[in-house]
Amino acid sequence: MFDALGPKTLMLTRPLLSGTAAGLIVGHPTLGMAIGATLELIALGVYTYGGATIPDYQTGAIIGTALAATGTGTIPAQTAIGIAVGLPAALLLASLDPIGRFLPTFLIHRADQYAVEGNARGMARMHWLGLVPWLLPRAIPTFLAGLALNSDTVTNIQNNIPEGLVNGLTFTGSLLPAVGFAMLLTIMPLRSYWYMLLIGFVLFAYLKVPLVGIALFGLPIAIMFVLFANRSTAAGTAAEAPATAPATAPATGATDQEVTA
Amino acid sequence: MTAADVTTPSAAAPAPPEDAEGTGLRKSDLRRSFWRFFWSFEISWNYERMQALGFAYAMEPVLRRLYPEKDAYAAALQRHLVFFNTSPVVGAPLIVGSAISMEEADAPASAEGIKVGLMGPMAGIGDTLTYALYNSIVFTIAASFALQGNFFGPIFALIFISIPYFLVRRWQFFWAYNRGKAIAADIGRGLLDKITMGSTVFGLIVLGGFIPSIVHVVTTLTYRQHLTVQGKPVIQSVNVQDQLDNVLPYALPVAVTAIVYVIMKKYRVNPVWIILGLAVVGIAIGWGGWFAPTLPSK
Repeated sequence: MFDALGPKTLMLTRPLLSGTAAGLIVGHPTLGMAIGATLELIALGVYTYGGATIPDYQTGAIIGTALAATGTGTIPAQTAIGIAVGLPAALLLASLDPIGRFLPTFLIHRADQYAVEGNARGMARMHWLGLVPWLLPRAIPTFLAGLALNSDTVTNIQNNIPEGLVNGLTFTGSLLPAVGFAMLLTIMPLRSYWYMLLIGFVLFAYLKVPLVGIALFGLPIAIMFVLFANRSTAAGTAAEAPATAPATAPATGATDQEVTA
Repeated sequence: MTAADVTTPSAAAPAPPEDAEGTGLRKSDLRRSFWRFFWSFEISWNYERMQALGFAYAMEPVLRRLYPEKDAYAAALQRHLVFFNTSPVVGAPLIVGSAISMEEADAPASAEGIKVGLMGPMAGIGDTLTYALYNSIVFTIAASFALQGNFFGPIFALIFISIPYFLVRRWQFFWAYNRGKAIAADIGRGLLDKITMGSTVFGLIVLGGFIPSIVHVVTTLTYRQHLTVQGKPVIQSVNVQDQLDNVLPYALPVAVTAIVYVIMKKYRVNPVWIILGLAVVGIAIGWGGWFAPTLPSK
């Protein structure tokens, strides 16, 4: 059962999708979706910019789902356990990520040789072999986690876990998306456009518009914003151009070039 | 790979008539190059030269056609095995497409120039557009469906990621190929700036609504209020959350997000520590029962 969960295809590189897929495989799609969605929201602003190593939330979602599914209990309680397992797993797996990014270095040196020989097939083989060091650091820990914790362990944990802790974990799960959102906000130019946040907030908090509705409302506003900003800068340059061009044009050809440039 | 093998004999054969059309790329070469790019661009990513091998692999069908002689072909392959890294969805297809058009125009130096010149700016712009803005919006909507137990959530994400990402890559690739050298001018004219500004505005509007709808925090605290009703003293229990909602709805989710934002931005704390800290605080507070994701139904 856990073998099937390890290898991931390139399409499933977000926790929502990997969690749901893992849930489908172990027969608890709803659970996998809930765990995946929670981890997804934590991971919102987390992407591998310039090849940086990031917490491996998608594999965390797989491990969390697989282990939570072996227990019994209500969906919220199982979800809480899945997150309690999946989140630390995601953080720990990040330490293995550099292996997958380092090993293909050897492959590219082989590819260099093939390129000198003009051997395209050898180069292609090196290229596709790059998948292996990417997959194994994820598949092997997932497999081991599956072996280490059999269903009895999870059930035991579930029976002995205090109800207060489950409440705390559930609460934490609903709190953690704030990290994802905050991370997103740090990479946005909040200083110049912070007031845009208010539009969405008012739409949701006071007018009770659903999320898709907010997105549809935001689209025309964004388009108008760009058009107006454009018009004002275009008007600005148009107003300046006639003023400067006649003054400099008679002087020399060199200034003329500056104006057109 | 099998398709590439089929062309091997014709490329290897130094027949003179082959040479005449050997200079011109065929549509099939472009298509093969695009598909190689689409399916495998980043699989051989590594610390040393990052996307270099993926770039060379995508260019290979084109180079094979353009350089029938083996030495020139090998040299071209080596030329494209140099360091390369940019945003894989918005950016890389554009650069591959224009590098192809420049190789075809027998201007390998320009191909080199456009690669070096565009990969930096496109990495920043492309990552922001695709990951920070588009992905976040799609996955937030998808996750909110999923948290309600609705299977439309993951399906929504699959559709809205795979289809637009395929189309936008194909469009960039062929557009850049057709524009050829004019592409630098197009980008210089601020087209990308406009797109970035528009999506930033869009993203922030959407985020403004997403934060209160996804981060669920309410307080279950109550306090006693001494009232005098018709001359009799009455002790009334007042829900703090109701009072808060009267002042500003969703004040707590906004406050939590703002606090995390400030810690992250001002004090530059590693997100991993914030997650751990939030988990400890969350478990403690949730255990204590003063705060909860939603109010218990009365």
